[in-house]
Amino acid sequence: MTRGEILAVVEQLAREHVGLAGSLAPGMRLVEDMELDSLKALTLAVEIENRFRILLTPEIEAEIATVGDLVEAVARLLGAPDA
Amino acid sequence: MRIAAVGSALAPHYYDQDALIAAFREHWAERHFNLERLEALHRNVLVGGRHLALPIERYRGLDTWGKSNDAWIEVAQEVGERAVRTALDRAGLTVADVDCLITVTVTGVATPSLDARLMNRLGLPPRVKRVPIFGLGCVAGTAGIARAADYVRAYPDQVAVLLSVELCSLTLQREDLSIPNLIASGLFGDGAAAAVVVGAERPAAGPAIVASRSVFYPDTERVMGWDISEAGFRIVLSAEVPEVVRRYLRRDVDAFLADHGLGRSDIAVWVSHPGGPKVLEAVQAALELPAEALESAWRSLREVGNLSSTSVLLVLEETLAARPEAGSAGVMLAMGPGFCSELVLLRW
Repeated sequence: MTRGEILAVVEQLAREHVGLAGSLAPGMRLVEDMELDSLKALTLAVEIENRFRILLTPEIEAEIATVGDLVEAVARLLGAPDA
Repeated sequence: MRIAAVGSALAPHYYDQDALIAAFREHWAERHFNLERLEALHRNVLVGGRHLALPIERYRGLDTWGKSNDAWIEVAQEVGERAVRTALDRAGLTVADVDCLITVTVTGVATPSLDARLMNRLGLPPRVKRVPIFGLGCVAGTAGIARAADYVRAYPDQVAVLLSVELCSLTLQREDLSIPNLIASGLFGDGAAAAVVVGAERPAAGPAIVASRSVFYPDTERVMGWDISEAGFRIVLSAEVPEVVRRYLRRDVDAFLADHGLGRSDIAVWVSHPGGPKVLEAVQAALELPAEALESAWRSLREVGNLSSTSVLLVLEETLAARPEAGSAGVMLAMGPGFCSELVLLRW
């Protein structure tokens, strides 16, 4: 799965589960730009885990600040080749 | 007017959090991948266990709102009766002394209402004025004390009984595996509590109700509440609850106390609705309280979870049992759907 495909899936999940209205770009910050509060962030994390069958551990989550970080973390867990 | 006594009746079936998590895990696995995350969610609410209205194996059969609500009507009467009898006994009164029965709940509906059913079950006098209040949620324990005080202010020779019954487990939506519902399923428990409030012309021990204050926060309807679906009550819970506490509580408590010539440092006893860990931390920070000031609320949360409107009355029951020093001032406080807060000033 390419990073572009992962981004598209994350965008779809964000629309379905946390009320995303527009589009996602890798540079967007989860808290400041996507306005994810703690419950929404948790909801998105759980839905990403369910869809990709991966585990986002607290250590991995601590490194995620932007949509790009999130896509990269998912790609690594899926074993996608480096970008 | 005074709070003569409080009595409680927790639901009959107790399970510790480990047993509840074990029961939930199988269900979570139908949709969710990272069960450890969900288990952590249930442990982070710092609840040791919950009393449930029914044995755990009976919940699977509650596949319609009607069945859940029928169970609510059955168990609400049982725990409601026990709570009222205990409170009246402690006040040294009988059912014949009751003039007004106020019931508050947000977890089940009934017509004739719960208070009407308790008229028969308790053998209350036919003259009793009944006031069923549905929908105030967690704030209703404190609001109910305030409304009971309003009643006996008008009729100072009379006795009002406030009964809160919340059977939160019967509202859980099995098919709703959203994060708010998962948090709710880890946090909320079942039980009832009653308070006997007497007018100024009735001699009674217990704290005097000095004053009360309602504060409504405009345009906060989605902070907390229910969405009603064919399956029943679907929880609305936003991350804003602690934020609302931080934003408004100190301002409102200070204004309320100032109107009575008091400040926060004059308050020896805080009777707070427990909410959840984040809410209690926010209350403590907003009011700049030492950790021990909310110990009763923390203990109630740890031991039985959040029982919505019943919880603050459990905290009040424990506070009365501890017999605060004569002359001590106390504040009873809760927040709930609206969003809003209710404050009651007490004096021992």
